Amino acid sequence: MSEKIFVESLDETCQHDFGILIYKIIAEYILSDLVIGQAIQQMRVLIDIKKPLFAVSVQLSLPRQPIRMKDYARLEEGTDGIHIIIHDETYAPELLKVLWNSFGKNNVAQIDRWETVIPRNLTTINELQNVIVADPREKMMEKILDAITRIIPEAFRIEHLLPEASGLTIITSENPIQEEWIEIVKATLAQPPKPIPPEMFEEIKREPKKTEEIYKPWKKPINDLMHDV
Amino acid sequence: MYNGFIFEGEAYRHRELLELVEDLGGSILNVRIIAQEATITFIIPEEDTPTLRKLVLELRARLREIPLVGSEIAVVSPTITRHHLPHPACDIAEYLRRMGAKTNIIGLARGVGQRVAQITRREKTLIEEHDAAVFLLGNFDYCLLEHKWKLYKDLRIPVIVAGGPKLDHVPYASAYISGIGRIPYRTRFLSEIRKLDELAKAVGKCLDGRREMIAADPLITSPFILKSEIEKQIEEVKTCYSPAPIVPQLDGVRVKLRYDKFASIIKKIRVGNYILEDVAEVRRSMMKNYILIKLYPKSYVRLKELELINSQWNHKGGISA
Repeated sequence: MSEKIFVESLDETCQHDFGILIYKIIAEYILSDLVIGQAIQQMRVLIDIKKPLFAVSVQLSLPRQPIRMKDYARLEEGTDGIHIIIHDETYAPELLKVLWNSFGKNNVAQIDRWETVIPRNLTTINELQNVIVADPREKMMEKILDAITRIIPEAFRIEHLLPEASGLTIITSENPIQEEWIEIVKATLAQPPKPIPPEMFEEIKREPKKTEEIYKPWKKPINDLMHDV
Repeated sequence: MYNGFIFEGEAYRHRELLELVEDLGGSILNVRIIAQEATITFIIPEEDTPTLRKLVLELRARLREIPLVGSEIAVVSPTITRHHLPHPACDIAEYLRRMGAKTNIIGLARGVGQRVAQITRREKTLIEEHDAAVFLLGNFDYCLLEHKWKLYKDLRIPVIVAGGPKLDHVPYASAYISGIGRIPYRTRFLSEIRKLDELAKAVGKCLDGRREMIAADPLITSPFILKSEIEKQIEEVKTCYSPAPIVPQLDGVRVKLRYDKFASIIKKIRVGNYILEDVAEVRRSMMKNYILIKLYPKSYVRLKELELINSQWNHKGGISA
């Protein structure tokens, strides 16, 4: 799998500092925690800690279209009204919310977990077919914004948003953001990302290392103690 | 100087250990007997350790040293959001607890950032009630060297700073441990546990320094003796809901009872030949309205006694009367 997360320093003097390296690990952990790896095409984190400036740019890949009634439920016309029958409950709360908003709670009768009935005089099957039940992109977008706020250090509360067609860039700082900083970020983002060489991660890599000794940190003094007697 | 241990062995001859500890002039902090297993936490004078080892070998039990016993340590993080908690803070607090310390995690209100980082007087007072403080800071060396020291510069207790980058030291801190900054995972691998070990050793070293300072002008009584006296004389301690109702510190104890109700009773208890309020400062703790007792050194108590005798002498009119 190609690399998705790039962390770069805007300061020439500290290109591969510990902070820069560990933020790549933090971003990887957060994306895997929130399970949004698939929704992101590329994430670039730009850091200049001396200004201080922290920018996160995300290129999104949100493939799924909004879910309409015809994709999600089976519609049947009965004597008592239009029956909406579903087979899985993933979007059941959203479906109910849409029906309640459109026809009122009094007119929506739930027969069981899978079946709901609405009176025939309120709407037709053809109209119902195209109603949007849920938009998974909205949920995914919430998660992506959550991930960005988790990655950005807590003190960086002043934000400047640069919306784009295929994603978004958030520039943050604890001081007022200056125009030139925005220009610097835009210029850097126009360049292709510079990946950190993998050998830089050797020291902070989390890998179990082979060891001969049986290490019991808080028990070690006892063994010494017993040998002394 | 005292050494702290945890004894883990068979229950049927554990009384021998209790008697030995009492004979040696030590103090028993906790006894838990579950089925046939006894777990006893205690302290004994440093020079009597060989005697103890012999008994423990005889009983075929295990002995675990707890170097931080009798200390209360503050683990301070810049805030309590998920940026800084739970992984590093809880791992460090738990590890220090295994080493025998009582730890409290404190999240500052506005500890984040560079220019905006600040600590209030109330937070400072709260942290200073502890014996040492471990500050968990971030991953950028620029922040650690240039800005973050203003959080702990004025504290009067030893401060151990844990941060990410490799540095020899940071300004105004007693010790600096690298490799534990803002991390998004739990410490599980050996290399990470060794870091915690290093941190515990640094804390131990700072506490030893304070213990030596106290030993130069010893306290009027040991905090462990004060703890057992309070337990004996105040019934309400037994019904207190806190898991550790009385926490020994290096120079006093924290009693988890309400100050307004119990302070006047605690001030009057007897410790050896003294009344507690004559030999210790009993004050309101910043933590949940608890009672904090700080023992005076022997020299200060002696000075107070002399002053008292002088004033009585003067009141009577001296030799002429």
